[in-house]
Amino acid sequence: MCASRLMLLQVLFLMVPEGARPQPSSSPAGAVPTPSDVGPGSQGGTPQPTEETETPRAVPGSSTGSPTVVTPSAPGNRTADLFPVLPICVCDLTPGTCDINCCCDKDCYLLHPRTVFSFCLPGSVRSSSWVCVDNSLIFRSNSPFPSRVFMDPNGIRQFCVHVNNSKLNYFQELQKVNASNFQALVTEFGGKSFTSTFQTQSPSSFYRAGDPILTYFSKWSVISLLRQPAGVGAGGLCVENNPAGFLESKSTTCAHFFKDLANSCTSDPALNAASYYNFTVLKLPRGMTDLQNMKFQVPVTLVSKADSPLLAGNTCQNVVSQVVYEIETNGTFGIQKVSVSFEQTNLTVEPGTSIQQHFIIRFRAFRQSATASLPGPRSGNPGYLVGKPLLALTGDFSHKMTLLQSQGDGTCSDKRHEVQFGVNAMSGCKFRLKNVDCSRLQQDMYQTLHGRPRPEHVAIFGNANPAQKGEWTRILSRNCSVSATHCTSCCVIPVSLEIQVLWAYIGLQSNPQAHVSRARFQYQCQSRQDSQQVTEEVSLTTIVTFVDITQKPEPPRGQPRLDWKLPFDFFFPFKVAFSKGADSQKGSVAPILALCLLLLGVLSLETE
Amino acid sequence: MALYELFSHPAERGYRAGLCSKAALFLLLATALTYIPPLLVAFRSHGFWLKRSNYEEQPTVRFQHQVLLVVLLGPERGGFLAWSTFPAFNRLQGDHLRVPLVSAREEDRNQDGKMDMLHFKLELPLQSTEHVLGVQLILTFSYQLHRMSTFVMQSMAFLQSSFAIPGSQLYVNGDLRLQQKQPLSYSGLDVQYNVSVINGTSPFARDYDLTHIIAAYQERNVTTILTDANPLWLVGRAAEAPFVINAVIRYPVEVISYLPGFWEMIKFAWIQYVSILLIFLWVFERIKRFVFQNQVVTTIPVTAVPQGELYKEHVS
Repeated sequence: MCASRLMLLQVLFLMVPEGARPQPSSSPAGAVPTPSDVGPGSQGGTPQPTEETETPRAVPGSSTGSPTVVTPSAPGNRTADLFPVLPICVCDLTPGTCDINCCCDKDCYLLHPRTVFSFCLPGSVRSSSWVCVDNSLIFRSNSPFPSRVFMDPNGIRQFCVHVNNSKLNYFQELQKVNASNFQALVTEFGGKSFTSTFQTQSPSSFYRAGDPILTYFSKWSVISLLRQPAGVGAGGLCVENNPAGFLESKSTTCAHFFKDLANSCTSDPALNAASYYNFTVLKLPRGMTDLQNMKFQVPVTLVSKADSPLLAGNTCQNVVSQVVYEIETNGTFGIQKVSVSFEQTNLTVEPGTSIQQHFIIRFRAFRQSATASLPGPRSGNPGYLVGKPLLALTGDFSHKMTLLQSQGDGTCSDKRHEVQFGVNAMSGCKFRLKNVDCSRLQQDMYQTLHGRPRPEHVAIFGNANPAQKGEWTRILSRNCSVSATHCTSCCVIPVSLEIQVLWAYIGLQSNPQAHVSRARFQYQCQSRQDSQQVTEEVSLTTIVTFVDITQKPEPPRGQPRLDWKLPFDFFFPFKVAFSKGADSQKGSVAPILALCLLLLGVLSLETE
Repeated sequence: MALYELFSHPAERGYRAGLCSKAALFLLLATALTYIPPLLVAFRSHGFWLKRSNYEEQPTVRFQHQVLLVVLLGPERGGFLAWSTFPAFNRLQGDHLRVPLVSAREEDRNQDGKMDMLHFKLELPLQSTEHVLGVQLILTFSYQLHRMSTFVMQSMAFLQSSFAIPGSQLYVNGDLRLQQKQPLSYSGLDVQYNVSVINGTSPFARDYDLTHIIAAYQERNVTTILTDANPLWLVGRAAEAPFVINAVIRYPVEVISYLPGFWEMIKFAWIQYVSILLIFLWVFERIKRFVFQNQVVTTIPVTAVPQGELYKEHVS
């Protein structure tokens, strides 16, 4: 019977969860009268061959079941061991003063620190692992490890065994780190860490695409970067120091807000045109090394007139609203010519004034100056690209199809919105009727709807040449029928224009090209009494609709697949498995084989 | 030369008894215990009848090009601007009508014939004294599912966003998700929600009231919602710049729950029943064999006649 109990003990040993182990420092209440036993109970963690079950004196006559092996410890005989056991006292933080609850602090001069302190800080006594079970389960212990009985805070007596935890005895060796293996250790053990953003670079011999362009202010002998302010962040405010990238033709827009425009009108460099050209541009980055040599520097030439801001009464005049840099480059020979042009505007001085500035940088190859005769940028080559402007032709003049746009107060704006290929759009505005005769009014309104000049043809492909009439298709146009009028004094005016564009992909399925098949202008009209002489507003609408008329092939495009005759996904698992193999020859055999195997299995089951 | 057993077959043996004998009663009992308990086990362990199931499908979504926009202005009270693609609504707005520039493009990324996302941009021109503090926007979609039942509905994406600081742009990038309060049918055509979200033909203001539109929409059991937890509100609008709403709405693959049909339900029940039945069959086969072999119930054992005869003939 005894043997079976011990078996039980060993089983229990394994079953005790981690959480049941009491902290060595917070020894249960039952063990308080024999505090010194915590330390020596784990002499170097070596298992003690003799049994050491111990009954705390607080619970006399404890039922450990083996009164013969009870060895009540004498408090005095091992206390001297406490200090030598812990040569490193981690909680002794104030030299010369006793640290509270630090049981290894020699400044306390306490023989039995537990009698004074409520508990010992972790680390001040040697840690040891106790595994506990309810004491009533234990009849006799023959464990080779030291054991004792504790009283846990709930008043339940726990039989605990001190196990030998080999992990605690691992000793860390000192590593030698010197200049040679420092970096190796960092790369071996280190992960990502904070890095300093400061970088030093030697100037490369020529600009690469995307490199910032260097500028030089000879007045202050300062090297800087060519700036293209851009709106960044939630505020959309101008980030003045945003650099322009070499060969990256871009346009940016950002907003400036002024607390006190009267003051900043003349002082803010962002509003002053001069601050955009009072420097020279370094032809090549290596020009940095010889700044006095004008051979490496290109002056910024002024193309348009640029006056400096002027505060006249309540307006700030000549404020820069648009800056356009034209930069000519010549491969690795760098920048050859830089020109700048401005658009200027006047601002009213009032609290909370703001201005939106546009910055455009255009790069082009050197000596490609005959740009005027060249057509504008293509909208695709040859097929239209989505989002590019739709090209229109009037006579021999190529321009872009536009929609009307409204300005802040809802009236029609002179600015027009470019129609983007593939993007359906709608816009509207309020048109103020003027006191003019009917035909003049009609002419005005048609012009507002379709823009000036009136598009006659639309480009079939994005690279259409105005000289080649075959590359354009005539726009079908349907004006309002005048016969609809009932009264003679009525004036039929157009109020909406719908531009319908039919387009399709042609060419190879792998590289389809979008082309415009035909476009149609459709006007809708209203009749008005001519006699109404009061000025009133009519709302105009323009709509553009793109209709894809591509005849798409059957859905499974690409490689021909196996023809699975059964409906839906009857062979789904096989399909998935063999479509990955991509070998159609194997695919046809293997599922049948698998099916045969399955059938065989079923048949053999039947015969048994 | 060693001999191997190349082939074997079991020999049949019959046990005869009267129909009202103990053996017949035992057999009846055993059969009942074999076939009925598996049914009870399968049923009582839940999930015997497949009442709901799921499937995956990318819906066919098309933007209807219907827009209803209300822009709340500040800081003075009661200021708002509105616009929609419905002429009746626009007529009702009077001075609050401001026509924006709207552009929309649907994109089929993988060329599978189903649209994958919508790029929507709205530029509302504003005067320098008008400051946008909030936006309410409704976009309508036609939403179709085809794989199980053909489900057609007209749904909407409602977007509301506001901020304490006057905005210049609202950026939304989210999914148009399906929300089901009840499962769809497994077959057939379901057009109960194929009604327009906004009654564009009505001249009455009540039909364009947002509370009314949303209340009617939420009555539906199947709806779509625009999921973008945090629309990005950009501030700092220059005096002459318009207020811009920039939305990217994706049409993701949805997991749709449906009511399985009769045969699907029977199929899954059958699988469960038979897998439990096999165990019972095996156990009761053993029990029956034991009972009859050991004559626990009285029977007259007979060797199967046709096989025995055949065997004898062959030998002679």
